[in-house]
Amino acid sequence: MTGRLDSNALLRFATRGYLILFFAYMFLPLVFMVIAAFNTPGIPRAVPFEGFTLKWFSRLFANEPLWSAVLNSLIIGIGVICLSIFLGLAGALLLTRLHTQARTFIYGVLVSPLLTPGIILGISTLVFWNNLGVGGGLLLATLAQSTFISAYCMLLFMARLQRFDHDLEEAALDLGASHQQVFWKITLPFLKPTVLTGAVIAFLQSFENFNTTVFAIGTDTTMTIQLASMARLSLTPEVNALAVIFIGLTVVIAILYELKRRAERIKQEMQREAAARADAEMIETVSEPAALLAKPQRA
Amino acid sequence: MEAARDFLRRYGGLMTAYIFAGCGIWMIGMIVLPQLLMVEKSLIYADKAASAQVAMTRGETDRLFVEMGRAESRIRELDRQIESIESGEGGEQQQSTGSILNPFASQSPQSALSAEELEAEMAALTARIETIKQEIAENDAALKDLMVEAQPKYGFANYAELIANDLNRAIFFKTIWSSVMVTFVALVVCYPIAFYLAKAAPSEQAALLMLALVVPYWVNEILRTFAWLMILSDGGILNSALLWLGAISEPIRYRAGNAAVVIGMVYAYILFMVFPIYNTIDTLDRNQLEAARDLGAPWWRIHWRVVIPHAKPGIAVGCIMTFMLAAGSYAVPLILGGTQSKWFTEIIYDNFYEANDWGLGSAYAFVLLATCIVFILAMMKLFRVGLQDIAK
Amino acid sequence: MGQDVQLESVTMRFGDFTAVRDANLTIQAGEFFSFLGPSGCGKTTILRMVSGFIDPSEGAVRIGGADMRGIGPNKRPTALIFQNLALFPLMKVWENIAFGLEVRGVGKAERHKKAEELLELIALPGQGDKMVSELSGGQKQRVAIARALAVEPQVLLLDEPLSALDLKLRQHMRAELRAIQRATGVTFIYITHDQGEALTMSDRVGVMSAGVIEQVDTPANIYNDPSTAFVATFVGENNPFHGRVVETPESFAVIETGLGRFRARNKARMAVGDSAIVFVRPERCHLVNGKTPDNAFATKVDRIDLEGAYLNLFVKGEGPRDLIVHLTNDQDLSFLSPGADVQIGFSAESAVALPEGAISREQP
Repeated sequence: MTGRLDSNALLRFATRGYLILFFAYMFLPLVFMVIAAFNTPGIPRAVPFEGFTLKWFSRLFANEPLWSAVLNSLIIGIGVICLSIFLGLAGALLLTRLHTQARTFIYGVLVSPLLTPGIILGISTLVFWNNLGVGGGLLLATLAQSTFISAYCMLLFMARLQRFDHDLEEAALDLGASHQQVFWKITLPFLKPTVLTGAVIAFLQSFENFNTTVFAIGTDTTMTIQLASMARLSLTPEVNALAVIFIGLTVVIAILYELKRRAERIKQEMQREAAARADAEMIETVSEPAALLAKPQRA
Repeated sequence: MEAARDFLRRYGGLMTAYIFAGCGIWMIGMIVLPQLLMVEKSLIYADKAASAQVAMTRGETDRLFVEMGRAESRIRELDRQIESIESGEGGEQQQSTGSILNPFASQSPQSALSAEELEAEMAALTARIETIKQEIAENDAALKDLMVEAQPKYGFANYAELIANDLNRAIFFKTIWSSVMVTFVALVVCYPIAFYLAKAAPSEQAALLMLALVVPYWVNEILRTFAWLMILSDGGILNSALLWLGAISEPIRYRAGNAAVVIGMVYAYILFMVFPIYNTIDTLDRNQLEAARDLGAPWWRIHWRVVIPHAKPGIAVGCIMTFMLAAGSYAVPLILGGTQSKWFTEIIYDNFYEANDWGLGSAYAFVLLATCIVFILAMMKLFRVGLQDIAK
Repeated sequence: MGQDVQLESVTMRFGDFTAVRDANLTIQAGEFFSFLGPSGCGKTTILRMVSGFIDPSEGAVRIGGADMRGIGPNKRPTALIFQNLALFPLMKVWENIAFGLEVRGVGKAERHKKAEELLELIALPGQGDKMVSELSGGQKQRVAIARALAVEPQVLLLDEPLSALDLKLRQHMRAELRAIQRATGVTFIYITHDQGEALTMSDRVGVMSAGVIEQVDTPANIYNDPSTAFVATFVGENNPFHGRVVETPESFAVIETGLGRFRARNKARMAVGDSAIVFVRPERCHLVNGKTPDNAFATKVDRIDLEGAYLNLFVKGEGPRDLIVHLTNDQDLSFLSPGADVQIGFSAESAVALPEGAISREQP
């Protein structure tokens, strides 16, 4: 008995130690990145700390090629959002409603880009469009990225549609809505949160993509392409300064998300209480069914 | 057809057209056709020896044409000189204009030449032109055959090149082996974390830790890798720390070998391992664990017999994703790799953008794709999971 | 007033499976009509054909005399109340009710007014701004009814809408539905597997089994005068005696069974020699004391379940299954004990002889 308790204590101790090690592994590199962004030496270095400076940030803001690359990334990102939501939703609607053997095949083809190395997607897009006389650039980068980002959106939509009660569509049709009205008034509002999540995920995936883009971008640059060449050729703590901005944004978003989660939990609890109250009310009303019919419906 | 009618009835014409057109464009125009065209490209090759010969022959012909041109203009000049001698006019002036037009002419002896000598030279030149014409004709004939030979052809030469190229082949196998290493290390590192988050941690703590995991994930892959460049470079943080501690006396050159790339990849792709495993373990009924513990199973046996069998699809997906990302990574080896640790993807890139040999590049790319497919199939077989379980 | 619904030789096939076979039926305008049958009998398929989600493989569905083939659910004068109600969760209560008007292009003010009227009708006045998730089961039920009535349908189709409610609420809602139907005069087509619902609410009931409409009649006739063995056993309890017709005097038939010769009404006009089943309800059986009834047989008591006001007497029959006799608890029944010999009798009027056929498996 005591032996077992001891081994449990040991296990708990080991777990704790492992967790600390693991999160140190995850976060220390980021910490070093941040420190080096404020350190004076011209090559990124966290130790020894030679002096606090903000000059890398001002250099970063003056880095014209980088900011024009960021602009390209934004343009591609918006294109990818539109295309991926459009295609992903079509795929999800098709697959949730298809019950033939073709479904497995189509599903396999549509998710295959997720299991394909990114560079292959870039190369195949490049080769395909080159045959049609279109060279690498922003357009091809958008198309190549959408190939797999659409699959992410599709999986999100499918997960959401799984919880969709298709009777709602039938009910709306039955009440006289046209097919378009059903889609815009019933299906799309239900999918709206997923459209937003999908757009965010599509943008982030596009914004940080490198492996696919590097083949499809041709002579243009995106932020990641520019960063990679900065990291290889002209290594300065400007890169760290940019990383600080990213880490800062992520942390802020994470904190906001956590706060929202907590607020939502409280709201849910309140709703549950309200529903319980409504049940009690219902029993009272229903005890007088005849009262319902005091007034005929149509005079 | 039955399905199409069902869609028409449910969604109406416009929506049905959107659904089918969207899926068709995506499936055929963005996935299937591009991949097929890449494979087609990889099967097209040009015979390098033949192309070299074509270039050589063309150069030779060009040279012959130049020579012929000079000979012809010399003949015209001689013609005029002969004429002027015969008509008794002075040849000096003609000579000087001719020398301006044709610098070669000035080299030939001029003043004291008789008409006979000029005639003889002209005859020799005419004969030379004849042989040149013949040579050009011969070259043209040979070029015709060579052109056919040098024409891009269908065949497996691009693949044969990979097998024959010792260096690239070695890099290919090293890439695969290192990617397996990355996958294995990531699995070992991530499983305990995934289990802890899904089952052991109190729910409040688990939510916070998940969030903490996502933070590094949303920081760009390039920047994540760059952080490790700072740590692992020769004068980097790790070496400084070890030197300071006196553990080493010389900086270790992590980037010379594979170590830096492997470490960087484990870091970059770790979450693609954590989340699939976490998702499957999360669905495990906690009662099963309690029941196993109640029956007296030690913790490792609970994992071996209960948790891991349940988490199989997640482990398979995690391994597939990590392997695929590692083998297909271009960013990490580009930034962290040294000259000795080239990655297969870098070879592919060089084929496209430095050697400009798209056929060869496509062939290498297809080999990479095929390797990933083999790995996926092997994982599905090993863990006995279907396609439907993957990519959930 | 509602419109009538006609099924003309309606057959519906899904691949190899025939869900509805050659259904012929006219549901009168303003009638409360129920389809009763076990799950999978094809009643929901009929509902979906009437509402327009599917068109029959053969035959025609007519509403108010017009063939509905090719007319979608959004163009038919029907409204459907779904089994799970299918209220729109992202809309407020009043928006749900007014949805049918919204898609018809009715202005917002008018929609709001109409919704308020209907909310009053269903005793939820002033609750229009709530979300659907805030309502209780019974309230949702009524919102669903109001939403369907808002489009002023000629035919209201109800797909087991009460099945999610608890027993007490369900009984209240039966009365409500019946009252609403009377007040509006809309044709109601009600789908259920619950015979209590079908018998209490309906003007007429159609009993279905395996895609076939077995009998269409008033609730009383369905119960008292079943026309097939399935109806006899699916609706209420019935004791079967298998045998062969030996005589057919007037409107009766005499059937030779394992427990003796029984005389029963011969509604199906069977001839001598036909295989037949005699059905008699448990409450129509009694203990023989003194006066000799039309039919009687001797058997042994197997088990007695006292229900209070009456008791269920289980006696041995021909097969492994016991026969049931309902006895009112107004006499001294203490002599009954397992193994006791008893004589059970019933009148020829209360027994029905029907051709051998499928018997409902739901029979106890």
